[in-house]
Amino acid sequence: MTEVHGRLPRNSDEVEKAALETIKDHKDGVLQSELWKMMGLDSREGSRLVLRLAKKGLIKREQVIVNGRRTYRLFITEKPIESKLLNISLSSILDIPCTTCPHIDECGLGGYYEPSTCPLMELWLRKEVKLSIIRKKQLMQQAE
Amino acid sequence: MKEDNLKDDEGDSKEEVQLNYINQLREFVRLLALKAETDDKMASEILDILLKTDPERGISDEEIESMTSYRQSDVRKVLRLLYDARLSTYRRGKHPETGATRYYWYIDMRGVSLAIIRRKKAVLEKLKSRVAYESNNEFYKCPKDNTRYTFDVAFEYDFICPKCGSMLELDDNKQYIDILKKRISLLEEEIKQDESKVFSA
Repeated sequence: MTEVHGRLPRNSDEVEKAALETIKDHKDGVLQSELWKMMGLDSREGSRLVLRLAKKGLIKREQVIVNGRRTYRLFITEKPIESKLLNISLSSILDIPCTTCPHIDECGLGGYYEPSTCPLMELWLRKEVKLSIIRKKQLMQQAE
Repeated sequence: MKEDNLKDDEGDSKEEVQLNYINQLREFVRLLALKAETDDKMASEILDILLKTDPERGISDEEIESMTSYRQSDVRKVLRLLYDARLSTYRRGKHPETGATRYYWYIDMRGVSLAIIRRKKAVLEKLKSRVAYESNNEFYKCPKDNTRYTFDVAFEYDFICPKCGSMLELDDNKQYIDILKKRISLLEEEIKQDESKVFSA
C-alpha cells in the first residue's frame, strides 16, 4: 500500500517532464522497458506514458527486439515546429453563420435548433445569392 | 472567398501566410465572442496575450487580469469560451506561494488545427442536411415579407399568407441548392487537404 501511496501525488505532468528528461540524457535512445524501471513505474503506466508523449510528438519510437521481447527504443525529437505554427485556413467557413454559432453542437435534425429551418442560414443563403448576382454583373461588365 | 484561397497559395513568404491564418483565427474568435454576447475587444486582446505565451509555461487568469484592465470573471468567461471551441487548453498547477490550484492557459497550435478541422466538419454536416431539406421540399413565399412556407404548410393555408392575406408564390430555391452544393464540394476537398497537412507531419 505504501508504495502505491507514494506514487499517487505525482501528477501526470510531472511524470511526463521527468520521463522527457531521462530520454534527453540518453543520446542513443533508451529502451521503454528500462525507462519505466528507472522511473519506478509499472509497465502499464510506462507504456501509457510513452504513448502519450509520442502522441504529443515529443518523442520518437523505434521497435526493437531485446531478449526475444518486443519493446521500443525511445528518442527525443527536436521541438516540433508545427506546434507553434498554424497551417490551416479558416477563410472558407468564416462567412457561414454555423461556424461561429453558439448552438453548433446542439443543432441537428429534429432538434430545437435545426439546420434545415434555421433562419440565420436562410439569411446567409439569400445574401450569397445576391452576392453571386453582383459578381456575375461585374464579370459581364469586365467582359464588355 | 476564392480570392482569399488564391492568396493563401501564392503567399510570398511563409510568414505572411502565417500572419494571414492568425488574422483569420482572430476574426473567428471575435465572431465567437460576439455571438456569445461577450466583449469582442476583450476576447481578441486575451487571445493576443495567449498567442504570445510560451506553451510550456502557460499563463494564469490572475496574470492576465493584472496585464489588462478586465475583471477576472470576464477573463475567465473568455478563457472558457476559447476552451469550449478547443482553441486553448490549460494545465493544472499550483500557486507558487499559497499552493492553491491554479490553471495555466496556453494555445497549442496543433490542437487549434484539429479544432478547426472539427469545426469545418460540423459546418459541412449542417450544410449537407440543409441541402437535403432544400432539394426534398417545395417552398412557397409571401411576396411581401419573404416568409417561407413548405408545400404542406402552404397547402393548409390554401396558399394564402396567414399574416397579410396575399397569394403565396412558388419560391425557386435552385440557386440556394447550387450555392450549397458548391460550398459542400469545396469544403470536402479542403478538409481532405487540411487533414493530410495536419496528420502527415
